[in-house]
Amino acid sequence: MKLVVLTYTFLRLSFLCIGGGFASIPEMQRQVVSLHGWLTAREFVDGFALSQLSPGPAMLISTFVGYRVAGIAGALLATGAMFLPTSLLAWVFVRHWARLRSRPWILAVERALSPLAVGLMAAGVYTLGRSAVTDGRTALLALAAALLVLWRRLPPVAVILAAGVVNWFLPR
Amino acid sequence: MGGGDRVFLGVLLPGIVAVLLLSSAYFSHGMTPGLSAMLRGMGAAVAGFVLIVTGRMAQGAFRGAPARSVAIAGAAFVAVALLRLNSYLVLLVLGAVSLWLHRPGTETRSSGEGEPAP
Repeated sequence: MKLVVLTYTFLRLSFLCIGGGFASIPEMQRQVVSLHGWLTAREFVDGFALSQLSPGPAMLISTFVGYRVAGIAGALLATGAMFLPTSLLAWVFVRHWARLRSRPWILAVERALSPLAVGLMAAGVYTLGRSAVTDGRTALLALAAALLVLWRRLPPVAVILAAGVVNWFLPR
Repeated sequence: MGGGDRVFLGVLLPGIVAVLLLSSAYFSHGMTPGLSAMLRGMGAAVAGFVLIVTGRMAQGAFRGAPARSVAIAGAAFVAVALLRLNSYLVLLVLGAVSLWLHRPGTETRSSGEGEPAP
């Protein structure tokens, strides 16, 4: 039963990945932490950080959550549920995009969804920030990471790892 | 081998294996103070990184019709982040409103929106 609930949860979450997976962060946190209690808020942020270290798509946190709930089977089911529907949708759109792109209503849907995706992603930043930025030091690290990615164009993985190492060595 | 197989093997599979290994280490070995501090630092950096990705996305999304797009994005943020409403409900309601605001025929009028009047 746990596997069914897990798969259904991530299947539904996959449809919130508008403009990228980050738009699904607030609902994922709500489902995984508040509704099902599979992770604590701290574990959710840790899992999100760890999944950003790996090669591949951003939403591999589904693998982390699935592993916590039901081991390797849970990890594979949650990952499949998260990526399969959106991959199929993308495949269908890519095949037909040349024909669809000239339809006014398709362009209208694209224009309509873009700001919604931004709003949901901003809510994702707020959701992550509430758990991850808890004091002056973490606020400084978040700001420094943002500026390094923005201005220096450093790879996010390197910046995220560096922030971890810096926080490890700083006196507590 | 099809394109889908190549994407799975080349992009998704290494990531899944890496996250599985990291998850296994995270949940089985527990948190030493040092590791906990490292993850806190990484979590803060991730929040900063997602902020930048969101900002870049906003640049594209707000081009052309800034007022209505900012209003929709702001409403989605308030509903989901501050009011903690269900994201599906927000997507359904605001998606319909946004589609009406961006319906075909509104794009020419919107292109000058936000620019000073001549």
